[in-house]
Amino acid sequence: MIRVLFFAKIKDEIGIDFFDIKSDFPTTVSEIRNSLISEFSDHEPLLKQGYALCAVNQQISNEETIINLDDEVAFFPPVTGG
Amino acid sequence: MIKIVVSKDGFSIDAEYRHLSSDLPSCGAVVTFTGLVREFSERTGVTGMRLEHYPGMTEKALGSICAQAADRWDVQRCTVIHRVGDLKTEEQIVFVGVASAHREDAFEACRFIMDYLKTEAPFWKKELTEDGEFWVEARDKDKKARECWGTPDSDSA
Repeated sequence: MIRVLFFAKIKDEIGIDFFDIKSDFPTTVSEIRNSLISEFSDHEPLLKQGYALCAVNQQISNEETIINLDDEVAFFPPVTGG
Repeated sequence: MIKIVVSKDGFSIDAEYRHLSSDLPSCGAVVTFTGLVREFSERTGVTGMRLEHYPGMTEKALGSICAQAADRWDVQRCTVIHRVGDLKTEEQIVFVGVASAHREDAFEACRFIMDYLKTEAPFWKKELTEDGEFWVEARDKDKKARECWGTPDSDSA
């Protein structure tokens, strides 16, 4: 099981702060992204590659980044601070 | 040397300037940038902003951006303050200050930190308007400003 955190528009639109996904480990950002898209297919544009960024252990990651049990995973929109 | 603050509270530019420059005889230049909430953004009639962030990652990302600036330029002290929560128009939202021996380093490092903050630090703005609340979308202009510094884009998503 891996807990995926959501922030900002993704959190608002899906309506939850986090989602627990069943997974074998190690897995990848790409696999977790696909699981999220199949779970929340109505929100695919918000979760797809090219929009949602993924951070693993609080570092921006790419699609091949490995995710192990107990890693902290978050999906969020492109950032707009400053 | 690096001071990072993420807080709902406001800040005093005067106090931050003194923190950057006091008891530092080798310092010849302090450059500061302050960002404000303005009344127009993607929409007109903006009454305020709500700033969300990713606690933990935000501080790490800002620290990493300052460390990169210190690797590239002579940075003697560096302060980044970013506010979160609800802010009204005209309020201060972000502060970047750099103390250096020379102005070129201070200017460049300050701008670098701001350009990176805009594209790498996990903050999200929501505009509060008379017609409702709207998330602000990221702009290509900010991504291009950051790419001008010539380092590869870590965002391959």
